[in-house]
Amino acid sequence: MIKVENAYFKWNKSGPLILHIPEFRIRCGEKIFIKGPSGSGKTTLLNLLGGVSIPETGMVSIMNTNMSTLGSAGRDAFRAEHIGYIFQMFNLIPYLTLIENVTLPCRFSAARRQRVLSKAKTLEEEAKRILSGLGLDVTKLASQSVSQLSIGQQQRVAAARSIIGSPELIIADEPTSSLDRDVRSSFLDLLFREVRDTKTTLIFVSHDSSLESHFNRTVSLNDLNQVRLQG
Amino acid sequence: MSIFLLSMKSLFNRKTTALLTIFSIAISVMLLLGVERIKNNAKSSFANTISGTDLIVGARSGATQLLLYSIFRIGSATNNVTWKSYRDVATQPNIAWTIPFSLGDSHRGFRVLGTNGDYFKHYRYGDNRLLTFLSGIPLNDLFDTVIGSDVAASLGYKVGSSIVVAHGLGQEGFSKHQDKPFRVTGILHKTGTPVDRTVHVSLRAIEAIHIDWKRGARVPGRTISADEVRKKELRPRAITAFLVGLKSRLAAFSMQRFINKYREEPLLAILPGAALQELWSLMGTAETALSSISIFVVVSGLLGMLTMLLSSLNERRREMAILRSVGARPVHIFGLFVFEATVLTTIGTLTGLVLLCILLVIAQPIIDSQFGVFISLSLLTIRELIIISFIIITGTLVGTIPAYQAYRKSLTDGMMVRN
Repeated sequence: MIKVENAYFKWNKSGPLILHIPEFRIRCGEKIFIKGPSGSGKTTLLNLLGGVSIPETGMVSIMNTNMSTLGSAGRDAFRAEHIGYIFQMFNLIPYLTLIENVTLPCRFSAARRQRVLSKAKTLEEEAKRILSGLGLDVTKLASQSVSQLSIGQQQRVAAARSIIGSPELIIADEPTSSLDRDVRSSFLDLLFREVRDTKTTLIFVSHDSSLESHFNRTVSLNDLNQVRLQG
Repeated sequence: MSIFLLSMKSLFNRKTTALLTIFSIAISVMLLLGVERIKNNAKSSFANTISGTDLIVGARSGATQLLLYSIFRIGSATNNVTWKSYRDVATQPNIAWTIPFSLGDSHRGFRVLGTNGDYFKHYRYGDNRLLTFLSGIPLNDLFDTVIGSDVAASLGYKVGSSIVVAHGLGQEGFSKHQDKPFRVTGILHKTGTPVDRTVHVSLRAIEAIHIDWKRGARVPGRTISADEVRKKELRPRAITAFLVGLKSRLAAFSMQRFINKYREEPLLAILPGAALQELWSLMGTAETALSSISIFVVVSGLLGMLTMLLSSLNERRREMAILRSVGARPVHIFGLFVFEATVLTTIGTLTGLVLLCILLVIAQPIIDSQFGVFISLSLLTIRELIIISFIIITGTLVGTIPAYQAYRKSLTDGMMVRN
């Protein structure tokens, strides 16, 4: 699924080396937990794995596509089609409705829209299905503004958005760190249940080791990155 | 959902600032178009002060001076035209009609114009309109007078009122022709031209009130009463100016040449249209100043929009990052801001247009009666359409500034906002 070979990364040419990964592979359908304290280069790694940035030297290939061979517009298109994101917080656009927030990726990727419409009549129908799967009462919540939802509800909406249109890869950047401890587990359970049937690869980054048990494999960023950062 | 719809929803989410921006653009557009329209209408109203007249003839002086004293009743003539010269010109075969003007006296600040019955038959203004009577009849008796609507309104005269003409143009000259009072027989309709501020009497009456005067003063011991004067033959020796109507407009230039080369006396004939143009161009500076001010107001309206969009950039970084993460490209982010600017200026401009229409409907009768400027409520002129499109295009271009900023930010931020 993802192949990283001897990748070096700097923010700019004269800047310090941020990341050096000799080798890292993620298999298709793997649910991988990347553990690392803040400041260990998590964001940089996710930028590389999501095709936002490219390494200065070395290779990052996602689904057998070398990111360095795509231009920035090409990577944008690739990302829109194949990758879903969940961030730590503030995932939703306040002026869009619940359903509009969930179906947003389908507006930018024709492939994801096609995939949704091959199994559901409308985008809205699929959005509602996923939201209910994640335990949200759509009919009750749809009438209110998304900024009025609780953080837990907002994160579940974000998860629904990353899932819609079945992207091959979901990258979750500390999606549970703003949630209460007892909600975290149920959030993960729901997320896993939703991606179980598809062969979705899930990359989950967190500093919270208590969640490790849910995943196939745990990788420590400190082991992965050969650069020792101050921070 | 297109980027356009997205930007509309985003704008609606910030409706207070968006509305204020729209409002300030609307006000500035209203001002610009309002000034433009009033300017054009004032200009055409000015050009319509006199129409249907082919030549204005007076003693030789400047074209503007002749126009000012004969038509606008501003200033005075340096010299007169002798009756003989007037008759010489008036009897030329090309000439259809003439209207003699004799100026020099006044009544309580309003100029007195000595003329004859042809004035009411041939004098035209505006869109070739003849003078019409609000009440009463044209000049009949020797001491009859017909007054303009402003004279009647500001002095409270009615048909039958008696007035005394003062010698000269002083506000309240102490030398008055009080021995020969006039009776108001007619009041003219409002024209929006200097006719409204004119007291019309007959040429013979001008002679009559000056019969016992010499060189601007009463001749002592020689008084001729109003009744006696009626029996006398009153022939004007000179007039101030006269208007000429030709049988064919084509003859205007040759007639003008004839008059300007008249040997007996130095005369000047001017074409009213050309002279009015020349006079209006004197006011060009004020016109330009007014236009520049309103252009700057529009610029400040657009700058307000720029400020609003730029200041929203930071608070919207998160929004941009989310959009990027769901697949929006930097070019989409660029489009989002440009669309917002276009929508704001377009709505602002159209609102300004509507406000202007409402304002004009309310103000039109007031401006018409107060200043004699008729503001047409016509559809948009080509020029106005050009101005409107120019504003909208400029607004869109202004939008590219924050759009480019957002574009650059979203390139460097990617999907992660560090804060």
